[in-house]
Order: sequence, then structure tokens, then C-alpha cells
Amino acid sequence: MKMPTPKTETIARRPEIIEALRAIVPGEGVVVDENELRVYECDGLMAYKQLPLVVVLPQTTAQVSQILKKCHEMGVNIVPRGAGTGLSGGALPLADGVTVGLGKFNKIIDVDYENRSVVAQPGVTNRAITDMVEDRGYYYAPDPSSKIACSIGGNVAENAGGMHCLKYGLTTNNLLGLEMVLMDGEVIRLGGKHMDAGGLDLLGAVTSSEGLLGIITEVTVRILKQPDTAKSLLVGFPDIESGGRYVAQIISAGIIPGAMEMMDKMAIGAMQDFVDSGYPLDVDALLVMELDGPQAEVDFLTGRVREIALGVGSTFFRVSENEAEREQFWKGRMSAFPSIGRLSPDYMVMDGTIPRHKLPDVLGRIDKLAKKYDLRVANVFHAGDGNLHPLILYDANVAGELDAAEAFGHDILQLCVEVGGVLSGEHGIGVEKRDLMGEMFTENDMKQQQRLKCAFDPAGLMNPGKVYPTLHRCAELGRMHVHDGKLPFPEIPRF
Amino acid sequence: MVDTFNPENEDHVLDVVRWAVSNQPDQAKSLEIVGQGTKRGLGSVVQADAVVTMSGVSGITLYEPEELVMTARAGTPVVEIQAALDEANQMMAFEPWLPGPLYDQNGGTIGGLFATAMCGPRRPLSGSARDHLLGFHAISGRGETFKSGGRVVKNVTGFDLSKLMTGSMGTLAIMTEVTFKVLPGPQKARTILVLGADDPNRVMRDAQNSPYEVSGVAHLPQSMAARSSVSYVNNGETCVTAIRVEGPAPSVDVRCPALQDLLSGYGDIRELHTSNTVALWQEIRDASFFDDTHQIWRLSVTPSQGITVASELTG
Ligand SMILES: Cc1cc2nc3c(=O)[nH]c(=O)nc-3n(C[C@H](O)[C@H](O)[C@H](O)COP(=O)(O)OP(=O)(O)OC[C@H]3O[C@@H](n4cnc5c(N)ncnc54)[C@H](O)[C@@H]3O)c2cc1C
Repeated sequence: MKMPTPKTETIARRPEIIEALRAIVPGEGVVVDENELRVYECDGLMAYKQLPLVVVLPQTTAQVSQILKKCHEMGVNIVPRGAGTGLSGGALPLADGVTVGLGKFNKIIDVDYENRSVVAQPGVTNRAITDMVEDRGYYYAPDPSSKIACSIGGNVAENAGGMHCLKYGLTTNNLLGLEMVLMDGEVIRLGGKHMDAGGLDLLGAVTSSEGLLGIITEVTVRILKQPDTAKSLLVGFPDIESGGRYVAQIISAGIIPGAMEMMDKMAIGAMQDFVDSGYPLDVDALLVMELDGPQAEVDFLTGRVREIALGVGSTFFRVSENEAEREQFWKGRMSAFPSIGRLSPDYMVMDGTIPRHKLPDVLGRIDKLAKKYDLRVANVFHAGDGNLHPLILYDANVAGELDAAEAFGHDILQLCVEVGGVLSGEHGIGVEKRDLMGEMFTENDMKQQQRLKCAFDPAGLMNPGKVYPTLHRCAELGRMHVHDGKLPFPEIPRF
Repeated sequence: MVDTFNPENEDHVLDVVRWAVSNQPDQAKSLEIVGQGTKRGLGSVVQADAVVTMSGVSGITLYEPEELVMTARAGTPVVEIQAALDEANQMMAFEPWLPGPLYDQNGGTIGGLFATAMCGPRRPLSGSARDHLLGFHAISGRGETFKSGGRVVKNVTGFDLSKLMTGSMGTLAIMTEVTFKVLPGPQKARTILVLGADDPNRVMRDAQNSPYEVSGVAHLPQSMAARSSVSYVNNGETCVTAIRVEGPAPSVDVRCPALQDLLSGYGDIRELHTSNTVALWQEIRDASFFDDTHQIWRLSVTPSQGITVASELTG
């Protein structure tokens, strides 16, 4: 993975840049000491590290606007950063770039129960929104496992998902409005507390743009009323195939559970070992499900999913009897990363999505790849929406294992695309999967996407080197290829 | 007279666009893109050098009910898609407005449906067209084919151009194929009517803020309610506030009485069963209380301001 060559003239102007930033954000808001900059050298993808040129921690939209305007004038690159929990290197610093940390944007601005919405600054954590409204019986639905740490602004940038997205949607489906600052300092507002707006859906286009289009300075999300009842279920199977069939049959029966998570034998063992979650160890595939809604609905659906489980040969079926047990069933799955992390000095989290019915096939082939690379892999899977998280175990201190793990990871993602899936379900492309974009997209596809980038950031200063493998200059993307033909194509039927 | 092209496949569409842009810049041709033309009444009139009619680029290319996904060429008639979904007991959960009743037309094409970002009363619960388009193939105004998105729901792989295309009214590119999410249809549907509520805003707010997962709220002033074909709605000689509840039968059976209790203080309560529920919400979805002599506006406002805005407009 190579980053664009840092501009030496920018690095040479560091003192001048620091001075300019200090004029905008006084005091400790401009971070320059190497020791303090270390804190920002990577995000959740720790394989890549880079010290930023400078870090600036603004507190107001006006400051963000001035910072971007100034950097735009000076031709300095910008890297937006939320909580730094991203897993694809989206917030990886640039040697010639200013990292803009949104940590001080940490206030909830408005809670509007009447309109079921919350307005928050981007540095507010995902979980803090639910915490704020929970006592009135509301919650914010998207629930990434990183919810206590990740920022709502980062969630928008990555279109974060979670266990409950199957029924309640991803960030993009729960977002109502944004304020953001463009690279030239212009402040724009998209959406609001209403649901649809006229004109182009820029709100939707900015969501999942991985910090390439601007800096988000305010977020409006919907909150939902908590369901009356929620129960979780553990359903075990002797093999992955029957687990896969089970998921398909539930959906075919018209049931969309609140959550439907699957894991393989290695993952089950690791999680149960890490925290007693009541998981059976004698099954090859385990589903953790949640059914929520009015009591009568939950009871009815529990009956239905039990029947279906028996029909596909499930060997373990348990329904949580109380809230404590419901939480216990989730504990293991929620701590998937640390539990599997204990099995190995290092691990790498993959994040492809596949059509659900390809699951047994894909897991079989991942198994073969594991043998080929002589590495272990544990699988956790958002089974309801086909989002696969294979965790590749390796030891960076053993010569060649990191390279092998990366090659293994690439093979898995290629496999996802080959069966009709995509490179990333929720962690984003960042730098990690950047060079694989060509597996899914043609040069034309990517150019078309980059033209959107040009509309927001024609100078290409916002988070360069992320998501797209080739940096095209906007002037080049704007050039028209004039095609020869003049004839109005005789073979096309016309009036 | 303007040229009309009737392409039958993606290559034809590509040829038309290449022809349009192959001329000298000052002679380049502008194109109007239509499906069946059923929604031409929306927005302003387009004056283009040529028309591209997409209804020949038609056919469902993939439908996997257990994967909740369908792919269809842009010109596929919505009625054809609806029929396939009905057979598998599935639906486009965003309940797209259909121009039929209002303009005396059939359902239009699926490309036109997404290009105009249609949605209906289930919008607050299930989202809009933008939340269901997973991916598309298109020809850009530069005469290049491109695609974006995919066929899976969870996807953060490049910019989400599907959102931009939804509602772009044929101004960005010509979609040739769309892939969208479908969902199981509800097993049972009921409607609770509150007749003559003094403060319909509060009825709708309380219903939506309840844990009973309502899948549609609507308020019909007396003059509109009188035009409904559903007897409880048009009999009352009052305004009608309607709350829809859908889901598995045992669930609907407890949520309806619970909502009735919750709302009983606001006015007389009636309950509609399945067929009347379907009929009423189709009327609401398609705005079929009006005919094509009316100018119709669709406004999207902050929920609590709906009634205020409406009464200010009508004076
Ligand atoms: C243990 C663990 C579990 C996780 N589980 C999940 C999960 O279940 N589901 C899931 O979806 N993700 C998960 N993640 C990934 C990560 O938490 C999410 O991607 C999250 O949305 C990132 O938020 P952040 O604030 O940490 O963003 P950062 O890592 O700081 O930044 C991520 C990207 O967003 C951009 N960005 C951040 N803030 C802004 C802003 N205000 N304006 C513009 N751009 C911005 C950055 O430039 C970068 O490209 C997990 C991560 C960890 C470490």
C-alpha cells in the first residue's frame, strides 16, 4: 500500500502552517509535539502508521471553516478524524496533511421528542445519543460494536452498521440532516428534521463518503421508540449449511428479526471462553437472534422460528428468559474482536458482503484458503444482511505472516466480489481496500464517482490517497471524449 | 418535430447518447429521458432536441425472494414488477405513489419510479425509494457506461451514487438497470380511524411516539374524507385521522386495541379491516381524491408542523 508522495514544499512550510492554525484555534488546540502527535498516528487499522504534519482540534463550525479556507489557499491536505476507531485507515494521517480532530465537538444540541429527532455535534459518541433519550423510552437504532467509542460524525462518514441494521437500517437510513464545511470553507446544510428534500439527495451521497467530500460539523438523526419486549435466542446447528438454510427460510417466511448473527466453531469457542454467554460448544454454527416488538408478536415469532429450526435440523435452541439472560446471550458476540484476539498475537478483520445464499460456499472456500496460507481464520457474520467478518489470525513477528495474512484477506474479498458481493459492508475502503477497488469497478465506474468528488473538492485536498487507487485531476475528468459517429444509428427503432 | 428514439437494449441507449454528444459543442443534442411518460406532469416541462423512450429496455433480470432483492431493466413496467412481487407475497416497502388513479395512466416504469423518488405513507417506518435502491447501471451524459452500488444491502464500497440517482428526474444519467431491495408483505393490516379530532397533530404524534409501530398516519379534512370510497371514512361528516397497523396477525390483534385505548380521548374511534385498509391507503398513497384538473404539491415538512403548514396554505 503506497500513499501519494508527500509534497516537500508543504512540509517545508510547517512553521507557517502552524502559525496560521494558531491564529484560528488558540492555545492547545493546535498539536505539534511529536509525542502528542503519536496519539493520532493511526486509526483502528493499526498496520499502517504515519505522523500527521499537525493536528488541529477546533471547537466551532466557524473555526473549521477558517481552517479549511486557509489550507485551501495554501494547498495543504486535510484528514478529518472522529474517534479514530475506523478499521480501514480512513483517518490515517498524511505526512503533508493537517489532521482535523472533531473530538471537541462533543455536545448534543437538541432533543426533539415531538419530531423524534436528535441534533448532535459530530464528536458525540454513538452510544451517547441513546443514553440521552433512553429514560424517555427512545433509542438511536444503528449500533456498531464500537458504539461507546466511535463518533456519530465517523458513523456518517462510514455509513456504520450494527447488529440491528437488518430491521432498522444503517446510518444512512436513520440520518435526517447535516451541516458540513467544504474544502474552500463554505458551510452547507443538507436535510433537516423533515424526511425528504427537493433537488438531488446530497445527504445520501455524503453518507459513506469516508471524509472525502467535506467535514461534517453537525448531525441530525432519527430516534425510535424502544420496543415493548425484546428476547434473544441461541440456535445451534451441526454444520454451516443448515445454519445458512435456516436464515434463508426465516426470511422466506416473511420474518425480519431485529438481529441475526452467525458464527463458526472457532468463534463460538473463543467467545464462550472469553465471557460465559451460554453458547453451546458442540455445534458447528451458532445463531444469536433477537426478536422484538409487542409481547404477543415476540411470542408468536418465537414459535415460528422454533418450528423452522426443527425443520432444518437445529440441535440447540434456547430463548432468553429475562433481560439479564438476553444480555448474556449477546455478550460473546459483542466481544467478538477481543475474544478472538486472545487466540493470536495479531488478527486482521475483513468486512465483505455476499448474497446470503452463497454463505456455505464462501465459508468452504475460505477454509481452503486458510489451508493454502497456513493461517487460522474465525468467522462472525451479520447473517441477515450477508455481511461477513472473517478474522484472520497471524503473528507479525513471524517472518512472512503479515504478508500472507494480507494476501489471504485480498483473496477473501475477491471471492466476495466474484459471488456477487462487495468489498466492504460497513468498515469502508479507506486505504486498506483501496487497491482492490478495480476488482469491483471499471475505470469508468471510478471516474464517475470521482466526478462527484470534484464537485465538492476540485482541488483534491480532502483526504487524498483514500478510497480511490488513482488520483485523477478534476480537469482531466472533465475532459470530453468526442466520439466519431454522426449517424443516428439505423438499428435503433425510432418514430 | 423532435426525434424520438426507442432503444431496446443498453447498447442502443449508449449509441443515442454518443450521437447526441458527438456533434460540435454548439450543436450537441439535449435529450429528454422518459419511461412510459406517466410522470411527465411532475415538475416543469422539458424541451429537448430528442426524446429517449426507455420502455423498450425491459424485463426482470433477477428476482431472489429469499435474498429480498430484484434487478430489472429500467423500462420494465411497474405492473409487471408488482405482479412478480405479489406472487411471492413481497412488496416495495416504500409504497411508491402510482400515477394511475390521478392521471388515468398505468403504473409507469421502474426506472421512472426511482428517477422521481416516489414513496408513500410507509415512508416514516420503511424509508423512501432512496433507501431501497441498492445499485444501478447507467449511461452518463458523456456517452460512457458505468455502474454503482451492488445487489447487497450493506455496502460501503465507493460513493453511494444510488442516492444521487434516486430523484434526479433524468438530469444526471440514463439508468438502464436498477437493483432494489424488496421486503415481505404484511400478513395482516388494520386501520384505526379517529373521527372529528380537534387536534389531529396530537393524535398522529401520540400514535407515532407509541411503541405500537404504526406504518402510516394521515389526516383527511372533512372535504377530502367525503371523497373516499371507504364507507367509514366518507360517512362521518367529520375530518378523519387514520392510523395504520401492519404485521403478523397476533401482533396486530394486540396493537390495535392498545392504540384505540391510547387515542380514545381524541374522538370517535372506528377500525377498518384488511380490504378497506388496503383501499384507503391506496387512495392516500396515490392522492386519488384529486383529478388531473388539480395542481398537486407534495411538501415534506417537520412532522409536528404538518397541520400548521397545511392550514396556513388553505387559509
Ligand atoms: C472494536 C471495533 C468494533 C467495530 N464494530 C463496528 C460495527 O459493528 N459496525 C461498523 O459499522 N463499524 C464498526 N467498527 C468501525 C468503526 O467504529 C466505524 O467505522 C465508525 O463509524 C468510525 O467512527 P470514528 O468516529 O472512529 O471515525 P474515524 O475512524 O475517526 O474516521 C473514519 C472515517 O471518517 C472520516 N470522518 C470522521 N469524522 C468525520 C467528520 N466529522 N466529517 C467528515 N469525515 C469524518 C475520517 O476521515 C475517516 O475517513 C468497529 C471498530 C472497532 C475498533
